[in-house]
Amino acid sequence: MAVALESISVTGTSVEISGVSRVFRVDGREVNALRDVSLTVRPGEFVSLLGPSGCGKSTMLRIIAGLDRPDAGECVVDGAIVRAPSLSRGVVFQDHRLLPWLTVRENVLLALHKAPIGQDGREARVLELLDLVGLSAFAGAKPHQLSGGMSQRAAIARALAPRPRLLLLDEPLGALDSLTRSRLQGELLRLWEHEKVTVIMVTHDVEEAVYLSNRVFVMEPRPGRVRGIFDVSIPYPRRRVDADFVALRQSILDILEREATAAELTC
Amino acid sequence: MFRHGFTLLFLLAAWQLGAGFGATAYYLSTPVQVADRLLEWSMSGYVWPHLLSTIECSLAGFGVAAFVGTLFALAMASSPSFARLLEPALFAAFSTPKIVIAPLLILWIGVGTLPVIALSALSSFFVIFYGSYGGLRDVSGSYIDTAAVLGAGYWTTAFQFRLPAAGPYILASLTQGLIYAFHGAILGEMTASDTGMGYLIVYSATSMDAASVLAALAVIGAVTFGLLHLLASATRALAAPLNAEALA
Amino acid sequence: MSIEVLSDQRIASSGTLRFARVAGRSSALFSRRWMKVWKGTAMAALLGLSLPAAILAIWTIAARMELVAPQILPMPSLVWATTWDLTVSGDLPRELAVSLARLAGGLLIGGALGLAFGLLFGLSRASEAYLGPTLRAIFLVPSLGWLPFFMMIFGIGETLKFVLIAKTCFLPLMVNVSGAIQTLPAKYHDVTRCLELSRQERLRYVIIPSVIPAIAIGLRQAIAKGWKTLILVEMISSAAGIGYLMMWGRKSFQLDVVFATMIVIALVGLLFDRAVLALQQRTADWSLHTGG
Ligand SMILES: Nc1ncnc2c1ncn2[C@@H]1O[C@H](COP(=O)(O)OP(=O)(O)O)[C@@H](O)[C@H]1O
Ligand SMILES: [Mg+2]
Repeated sequence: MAVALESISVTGTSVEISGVSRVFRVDGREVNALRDVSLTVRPGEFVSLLGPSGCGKSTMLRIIAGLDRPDAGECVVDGAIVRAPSLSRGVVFQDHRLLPWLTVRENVLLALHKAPIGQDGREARVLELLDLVGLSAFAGAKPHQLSGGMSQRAAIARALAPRPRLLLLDEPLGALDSLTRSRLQGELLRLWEHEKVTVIMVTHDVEEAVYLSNRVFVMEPRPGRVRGIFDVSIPYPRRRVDADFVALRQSILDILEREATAAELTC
Repeated sequence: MFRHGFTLLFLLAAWQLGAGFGATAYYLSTPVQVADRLLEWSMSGYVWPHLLSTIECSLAGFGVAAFVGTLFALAMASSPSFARLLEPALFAAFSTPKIVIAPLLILWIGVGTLPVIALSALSSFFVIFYGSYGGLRDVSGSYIDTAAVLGAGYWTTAFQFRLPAAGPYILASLTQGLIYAFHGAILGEMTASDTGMGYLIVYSATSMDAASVLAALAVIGAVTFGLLHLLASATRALAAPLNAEALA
Repeated sequence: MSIEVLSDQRIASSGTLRFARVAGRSSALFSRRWMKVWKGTAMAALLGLSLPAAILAIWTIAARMELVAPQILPMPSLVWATTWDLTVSGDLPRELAVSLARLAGGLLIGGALGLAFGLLFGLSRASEAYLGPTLRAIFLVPSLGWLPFFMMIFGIGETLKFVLIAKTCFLPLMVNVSGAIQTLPAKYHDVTRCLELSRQERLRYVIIPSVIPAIAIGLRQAIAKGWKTLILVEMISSAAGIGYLMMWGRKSFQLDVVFATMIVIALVGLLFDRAVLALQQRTADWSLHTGG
């Protein structure tokens, strides 16, 4: 970790989450999506929120994005409490959510509507990003003409366009086939280094988390909370077959396994 | 609740008060007059035979349309060649105003309940057929494959797999067909009958009795409202298990 | 009301599927590989025409053998000759033009109002709460029921036709447009918030484009219903228009005229439907409600 972080000049923000709880009411029952979660993300870090579905990962991400408010506790990004969504925090969802009537270029351009760089500057930034995610040839295409992987690239370009200092990814590669997925994992790393942002990624894929992150937060459900934090000190680029890699992956898997068994017993 | 009725109350009040001023009072009557007419009708029993006749004709027309409509839909969904034979003609007829047949009906079968039933059946047939056919034809291939794997024959596949799988769509189109049957019957009564709510409207209009026309419209609106609620609750009841299945 | 339209949408979309299939087939007409498919389309057309042909044959035989009195069932050849005569003499085109102008006028007024109220109800829950139920209740009674009442108020002139057609075209647009906005998936709301779009930008980039498919569907229903209502009102109270021509034929016992106008009315209805279906198909690609 130290190696990677020192080699880049950090512009990403820090994130401090302290005592965050979120309760949903479903059919009169209370669902504790998050209970008293505290965690800190350092500037420029790439962290993953890992856990089985229903453990509150998306809720956590939505709170950091400002799309949802916690019932208790607070989320501080770069020294300020998050109260509403902002272009300084880019979000990518599992489904691309591009606007179907706009071309790829127009979709990315829409995220620049507040950028104080003039029309030429905006066009240039769009071209730069499409080039970065490998979509230059598809600038004029409509979303329905793109494959799943290409749509996600476009969505990532849209999120990165306004130069956010924090990138929030909610299972961005979850709906892709495994080949496209591992290729895009490599590209995420490249983008992270190029844009020098802080990244918080939600995933339920242990290998993906270990491959990409500086640190992995393992979460567990009912109520949603952080179960353990893993430092991944393997230098980039990582190889999935290295002994360190395999060992770390296995110890995270063990925790999740134990968690799942415990959950079954209590149910 | 207040918000829902606010505009209606406002309009009724404006109508009641405004009618006293303009010269159109005669044509418009007033809400009080209309309510009075409704009360008078239900006390004297004048309106019941008309309403009953309309409902009887609607039900008869609906029965025919429901039977023939779902049968055609099932046959066409189960047999592609049968579908190719009938689809173009039926789809063309679907977008044709059914009223054009009224003059012929009168010539062919005269005036009375028969043309009313015929028009009612014709109005609802296409809605029922079209809705059920869409549902039956688009039944997921996996059901049909399952039927084939289980060794089901043609009829078993049609009646035990296709029909239940498309159940919600068929029920939705049937309930919608009921509304069309009701309106079709009124249409028939307006052109080719001497009883029923449709006739009542035309008769009242020719005698320039605005209060009666509006009273009859209110009755028709109330029945349609009831049918729509039936449609809504039927759709909800059937959509629930369907959604649960989609989530699983 | 919205449920009625919902299943109308199902109808519309199954039609769209068919259309897409046929359109896919007829592309690349000249490629050898497609010749087989092309032949299949021709076969389908033949098969589809066989039913109308059979009806025509039975009709001809019944009329020729005088199984039915000619006053009740005219010969197909006579109907054809009458259609031709009416067309050449200019009677049919003139009456048709009158009808089409009425439909266009009514659609323009009613459709525009329906669109405006649909947007209003979609964007403001309060306006829907105050106005929606009353408007829906008024429109619950079918247009044909209102006809006699409108005749008392507006007389039997042109105003009557425009008011009635406008009334008929209003609801499909209102219901479809407001429904489309109200059921806009919440996830797109997240997107507009993340992108910090203002109210106007949200309207311009998300809401307006997202209702275009609903406008196409509403337009298709409005034209179909408007055409039906127009024929009805022309049959009952008019001195011009294609529906009037039909009624005139019946009253003067010229069944060949009745049949001729029936055919024209059916063809125009079908033509409108296919045309608007093509429009609807073009907008289907960008539906937020179905797309990922
Ligand atoms: N808007 C909501 N309304 C009600 N319950 C919700 C809502 N969002 C999330 N939940 C519930 O909160 C819990 C955590 O959800 P989520 O954060 O989506 O989990 P994850 O992303 O880890 O799968 C789940 O039990 C889910 O059902
Ligand atoms: Mg999630």
